[in-house]
Amino acid sequence: MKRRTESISPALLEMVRRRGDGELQPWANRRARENLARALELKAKPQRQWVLRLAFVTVCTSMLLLFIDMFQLRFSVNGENMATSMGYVRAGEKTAAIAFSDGTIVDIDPHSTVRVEHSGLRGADLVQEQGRATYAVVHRPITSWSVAAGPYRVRVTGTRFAVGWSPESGEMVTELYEGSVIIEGPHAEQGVALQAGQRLRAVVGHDVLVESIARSDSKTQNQESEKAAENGETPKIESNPEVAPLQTVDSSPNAEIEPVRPISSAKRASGNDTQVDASQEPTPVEEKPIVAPASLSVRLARGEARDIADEVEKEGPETFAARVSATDLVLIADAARYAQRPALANSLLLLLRQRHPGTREAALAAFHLGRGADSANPTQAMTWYDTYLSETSGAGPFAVEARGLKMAAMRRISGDTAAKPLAEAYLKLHPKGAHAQLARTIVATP
Amino acid sequence: MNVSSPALDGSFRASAAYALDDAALVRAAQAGKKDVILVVWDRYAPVVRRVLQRSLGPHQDVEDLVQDVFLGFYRNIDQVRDPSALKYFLIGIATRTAVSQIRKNKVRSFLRLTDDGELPDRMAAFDDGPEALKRLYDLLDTFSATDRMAFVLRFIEGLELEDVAHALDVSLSTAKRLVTKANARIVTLAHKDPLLSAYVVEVDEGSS
Repeated sequence: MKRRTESISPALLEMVRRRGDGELQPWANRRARENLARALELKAKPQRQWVLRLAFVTVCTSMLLLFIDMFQLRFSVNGENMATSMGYVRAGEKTAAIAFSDGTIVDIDPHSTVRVEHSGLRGADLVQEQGRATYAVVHRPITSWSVAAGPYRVRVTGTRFAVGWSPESGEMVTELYEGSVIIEGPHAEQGVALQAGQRLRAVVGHDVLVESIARSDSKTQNQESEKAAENGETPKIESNPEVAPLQTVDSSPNAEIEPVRPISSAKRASGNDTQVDASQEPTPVEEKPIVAPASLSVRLARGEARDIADEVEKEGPETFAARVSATDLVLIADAARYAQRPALANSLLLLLRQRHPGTREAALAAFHLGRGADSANPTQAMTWYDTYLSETSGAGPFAVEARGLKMAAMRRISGDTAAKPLAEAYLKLHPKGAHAQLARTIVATP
Repeated sequence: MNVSSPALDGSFRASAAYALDDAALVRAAQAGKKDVILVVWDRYAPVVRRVLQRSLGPHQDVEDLVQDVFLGFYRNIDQVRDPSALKYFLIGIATRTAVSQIRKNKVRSFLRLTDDGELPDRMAAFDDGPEALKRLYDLLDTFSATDRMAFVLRFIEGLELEDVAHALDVSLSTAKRLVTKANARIVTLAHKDPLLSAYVVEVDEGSS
């Protein structure tokens, strides 16, 4: 016995069939057939479908590249009487600004120079060539910004800060207004975490100092920079009315100057975020004015180089060198260079190498002797750079600079062809180094 | 190309092409004889058009879709495994084309709803037709594309379950389940419609 089930009646189904019997009027069928014939004529043979696939892949690849390009950071430069070339931006009498497509702004003080070394999807690498600039970096989920100032590098997420760099004195100052940054460089190889409201001072060859700042300092500094600009001078990083007598570096902990806190001592958050753990919170911002310590490095940072040089000359370089440490000799030599007394600086550096051979300071002196001779006697400068690289096994804090300067000196003496091996070696070791652009230019020369 | 009389090469005259069976036509097409597609059109365009029209409803203009089916056949000629089953290969392409169109229509109706929720061309298509026909397609519009095609192929087109399975590219047992589910659903919905409930009848299970 068959089971019975319900269904739509055959009558209704037949109605559906009659409404769609698939037949066309002869003229309509002929036209449709002609359309098919034309379409078949236009269609490529099935065997040629690889052409279509290739075209599809090409279109997809192009769209992908376009997509990537859309998110590539771009920048424009604004300002009056500024000079810009190959990523270099030098402000004229007034400030200049680099505006990035993600909203990040770099305000460059008058007569200061910043170079955009590289800009990518996640951020940009900038070089503070000279003077001072304020950076307002927009925070994004994946952000990678850095600012190089001489041998120092400021690694950034989202933050607002200012960097000052004086190639003449080798002095770098970073003031942090918002967020956090990590600064790496000589005497801070592990990285120093800087928190909002803090200022880091670093003079090449000396310890790195972290101190609290009042936010109003930055305004004062801006005013000083503008004044300096009006006088046609390279802006000083900062000056402090407190004057301390000359004395050697005080390495003991100081209540006003915070000891350097290596980044390794702070717990980093995941990814690129450089915020430190609350339990590792740095010393809170102090509102009271800083009382300067009586140390050479701080006096130097305050711009007292001329006074220091006067005192050393008064005492006599040999006498002075006989009673101070190698570290202090480096400091005094820096002061002499900063005070535009190259002969005194050279004497002190040579004395340093005589009295403290084989030390880190002696190697550092070799580098500075090279820099001192760079413009007047590039051949001698190259010898000093080689000495420095040799004495530091090529891994000293100025190794990148030494290789770059040696390459540039070789180019000035003997041209691109002679400098090409040095340029190739430089690019191999430091593809993102400060002299990478020059190296590429040399390598590209036929 | 001479459309009214396909310009086949010297060894393959038009009259001879029309005398070929399905398997020979497929083999000729696989050998690169493009004009054979027009012979296939003459033989099976009504079938393809019928499947599309009945699947999509009288409101749908299917001529472009018919073209698509034959161009798809030409592109995929190398995939015909059983040349003698040409008709069902074409019905399979037509079914997939209809499924794709049903899904597009759903998106279109979602994006272009009129005040009463119907597309203008659809309303016009049923103006001169029986109300029951319109309501039947209203119910089918609530089906998934696969369920709808299972119902159309089995109950309207009258295909055997094996052919339904082939057209839907599913196993026989899956086709059976889809057909049973589609029938049960449309009967349930028809019972709720005062007009369509009169069109629900009892039949022997084997005859459905």
